[in-house]
Amino acid sequence: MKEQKSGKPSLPIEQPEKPLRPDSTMQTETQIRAPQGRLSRDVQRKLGETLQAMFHEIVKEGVPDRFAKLLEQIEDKHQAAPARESTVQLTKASELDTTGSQCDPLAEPHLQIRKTGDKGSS
Amino acid sequence: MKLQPSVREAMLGAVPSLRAFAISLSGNIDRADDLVQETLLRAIANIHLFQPGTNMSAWLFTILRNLFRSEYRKRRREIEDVDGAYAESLISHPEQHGRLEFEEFRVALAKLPRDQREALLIVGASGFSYEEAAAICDCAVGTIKSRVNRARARLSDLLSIRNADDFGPDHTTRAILTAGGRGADRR
Repeated sequence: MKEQKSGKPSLPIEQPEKPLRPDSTMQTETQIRAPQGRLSRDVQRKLGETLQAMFHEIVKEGVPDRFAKLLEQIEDKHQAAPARESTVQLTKASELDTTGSQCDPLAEPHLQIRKTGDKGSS
Repeated sequence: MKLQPSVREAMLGAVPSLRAFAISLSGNIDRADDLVQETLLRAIANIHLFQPGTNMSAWLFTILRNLFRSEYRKRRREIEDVDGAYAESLISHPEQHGRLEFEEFRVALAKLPRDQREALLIVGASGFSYEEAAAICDCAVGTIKSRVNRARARLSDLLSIRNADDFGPDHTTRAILTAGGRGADRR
């Protein structure tokens, strides 16, 4: 399978329709591929649309509480107890104490938010 | 650690697409959500490195992508046997994200080489430019372009897409598309 060089001034042999792949018996090849082995624009566009639709299915779920709370918790932890251990409870979203927390992700957390680490103490 | 409200807002604003990226990349919701969480933690811990005014989303994507890759290296033995074995495992999780109609597409996506999948998701789904994608993946723009092209070609092979009419969740949609007179002729 020779590639036609664009630099050549003229071709000695006329090649009206260069076969894409001699070994390919799939007639679909000619439909999917444009001459240089690229996908046709239609297929590219539809691939993109499907990919975006799939992606959007997840995007439209928005921000799970878990992450909004995580940010609150981290900020709160650092503010209220900067000198203490800085590791944050990661996976126990269900254990988060949300009684005093603000759920508005844009709101600044205030100091009265309780820390999750305080469960044992008063 | 007190985040600037604008930084905090930008971070949370990026979460939905970051999460979609993580889910599409890893093929597993729990793992993806852990990745997003770890990404946010790292971002906050390194927030001093973030330059205000630059793209928060791209920064978070970079962190997540690097985390995913390092985690992938650790798990390589598990995953590397792929001849679709990993992708097959996804099929057994019908509670997986999104509607069933994307199942086939998702499985095909999971069969792509990691570099290609990553590039396609960043450019084709998340809407970053080639330049931004190159920065996120720490490679040349041309490399991204080539990965995206190869990803598309491979996807169309895996999905046996002959022409644009082959798309669609099921035959009904295909029929509608066809009835709508959408020609498959290449131009």
